[in-house]
Amino acid sequence: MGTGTGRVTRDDPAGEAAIAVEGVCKRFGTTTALDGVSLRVEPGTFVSLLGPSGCGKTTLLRIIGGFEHADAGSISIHGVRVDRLPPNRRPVNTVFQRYALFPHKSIFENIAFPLALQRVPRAEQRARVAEMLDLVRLPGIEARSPAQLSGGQAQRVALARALIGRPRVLLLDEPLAALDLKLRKAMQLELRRIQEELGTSFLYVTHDQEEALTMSDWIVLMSEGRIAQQGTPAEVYERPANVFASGFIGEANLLPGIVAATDGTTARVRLADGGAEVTAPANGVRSDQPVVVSVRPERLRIGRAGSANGAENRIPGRLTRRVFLGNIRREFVAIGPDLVLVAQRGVDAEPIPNGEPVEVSWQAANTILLPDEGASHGG
Amino acid sequence: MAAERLGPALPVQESAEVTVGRPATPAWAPTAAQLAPALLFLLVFLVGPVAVFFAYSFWTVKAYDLVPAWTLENYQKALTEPIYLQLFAQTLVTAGLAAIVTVVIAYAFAHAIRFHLRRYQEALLLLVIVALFSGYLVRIYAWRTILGDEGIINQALISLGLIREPLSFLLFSRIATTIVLVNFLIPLAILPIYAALQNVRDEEIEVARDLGATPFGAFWRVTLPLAWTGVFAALGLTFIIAAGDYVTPQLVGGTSGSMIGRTIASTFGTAFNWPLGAALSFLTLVFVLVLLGLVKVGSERVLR
Ligand SMILES: Nc1ncnc2c1ncn2[C@@H]1O[C@H](COP(=O)(O)OP(=O)(O)OP(=O)(O)O)[C@@H](O)[C@H]1O
Ligand SMILES: [Mg+2]
Repeated sequence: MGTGTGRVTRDDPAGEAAIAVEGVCKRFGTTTALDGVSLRVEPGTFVSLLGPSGCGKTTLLRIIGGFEHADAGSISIHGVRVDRLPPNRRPVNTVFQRYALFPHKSIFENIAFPLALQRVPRAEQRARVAEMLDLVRLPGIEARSPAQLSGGQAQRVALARALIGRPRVLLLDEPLAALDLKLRKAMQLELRRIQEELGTSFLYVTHDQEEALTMSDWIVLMSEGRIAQQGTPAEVYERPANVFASGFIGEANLLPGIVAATDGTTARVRLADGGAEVTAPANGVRSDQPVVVSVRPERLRIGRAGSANGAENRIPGRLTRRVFLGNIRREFVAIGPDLVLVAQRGVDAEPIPNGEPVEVSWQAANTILLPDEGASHGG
Repeated sequence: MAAERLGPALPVQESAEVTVGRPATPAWAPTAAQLAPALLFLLVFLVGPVAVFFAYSFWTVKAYDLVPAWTLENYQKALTEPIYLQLFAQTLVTAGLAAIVTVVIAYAFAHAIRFHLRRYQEALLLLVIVALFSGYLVRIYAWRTILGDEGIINQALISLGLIREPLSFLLFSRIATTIVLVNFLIPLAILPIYAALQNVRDEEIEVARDLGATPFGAFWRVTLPLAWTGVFAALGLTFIIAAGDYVTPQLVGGTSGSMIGRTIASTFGTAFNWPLGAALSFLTLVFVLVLLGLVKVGSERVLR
């Protein structure tokens, strides 16, 4: 509830969600896989369910698909409660991680499977299968068998099979995880194109934050069976709500410290390690509160000690290591006994030799203060 | 050709494509070497004796002596005399019934341990194997005491007052033969079916359900076709064993439950008519194989 801000929405007069999950809990023996999860997928949007391995993404998807039953909570699809419906009676289809094409059927029979079940006439089946194969850009492979396909092709066929029945909602469980990086990038764009072309709502499970940022209208970030944060990709990246979100989406330097002073708009934080002081927007913190300072590597500037620029935060340090990543360089700067900052520089930037004393600087506006959950519970 | 273009710097690979120099080992050679022992065994102990009996089936007997006459007389006799025709029919019906009932029960069992009782699968499979070891004759006699006039079923029904006279059709009938055969064959059928069901992945069934199949639809269109090799193997195995059995019909079958196997045995034995016995055997084999072939062709059309 109340998470509609900045949300991509399409015409939906009834205002009903494509998927509405309310307070779903699920336990397996002693493990709690889902602990009160609620989320909405607006019609026609691409929503990513993002989180580390074992946080309950697959479990949630299986509950929505009808393969698992929630211990508590409810699922509605386009306004209809589906909790008691078997998978075949739910208006959603699923693309599984292991594409699970039927090995005994041809590609045509695989894709036409839902139509054959509905006894759609053969001619219409042929036309619709051809249409689907065009959509996934694999025209003319009807007669092949699944064993004759590459991983990427098999995944496209699985997608075509899931879409041929024209579901209003499609669930995808890490469908690209088995593909190599290059193919995965290409398929990300393909999936997004297909989703936009058909206007189907997608709920897409991934543990790859970059994938989620690239593809989604909306990201639901999960951690240990709960939702850690949700919002547009820009929101969750620019304004992480907690340490977990900050660390999981994109890279971040996370520096624990104590609030030394605050006037309500800006705060000064003394870092626990090294004792340097950092200025940041207050973000509701109180004096003496333990916090974590989060700064993205691309916000950091590195210069020789004393070089002038307008940044409020400047910390002396020593360059310890440099990693070349092709388009950018990643520099590691030690600013305390056990504290190393990661900064990002263009490849053209003036090279500074390892071990040199440098100054790391960044603007107060690019600093985020997050409550230190490890130190103060519920504070 | 490719090797020539690439020049002599490349090491010559031991593969079928290399055309330079001495021809490499042909691709089939290792396969043949692996198959040889089994082939040899089959040749000596199966094909050989079968070929000998096939030859006998065209001979005749004169004064208790086999005469190589090369005649079709035995086959003609086997295919025209009503007693043999009736026995063939009875054999195929009883064995077919036993095989079908066996496979249905064995499938249900294998399906249950594969999909619902996974935790107990090892214990249950062990029980199946133990059942294979329990004596064949012991079980036949056990069934006689269960099904007979003085048996448990009749006595129970009488003491309940449901019947006054024992139901005599229970023993010495086709029902008795079928029950005993099924009891004997079930463990044999469970093993291949269970092995085939192991190859059916949960996801394949879930996908089918997801795409709109009912539980039966998923079974009929996905699980059964994927497991069919094993199910058909079980069907073939049990049908062949049942059609060739001659102890069970003799001990519990009576007249209506008797089968060709017993007649073949006595034709070879007391009657010493090896040629006719051989012809009857081959005809049984042909009928069984033709029926199985029809099932195979039919099933491939239906299960897709
Ligand atoms: N059938 C099951 N029986 C027991 N525990 C299960 C079962 N399914 C999931 N779990 C547990 O529930 C938790 C969530 O699992 P889930 O598969 O949903 O994670 P996930 O987020 O999809 O992870 P991944 O990214 O690795 O696929 C895990 O701790 C897992 O061990
Ligand atoms: Mg998963």
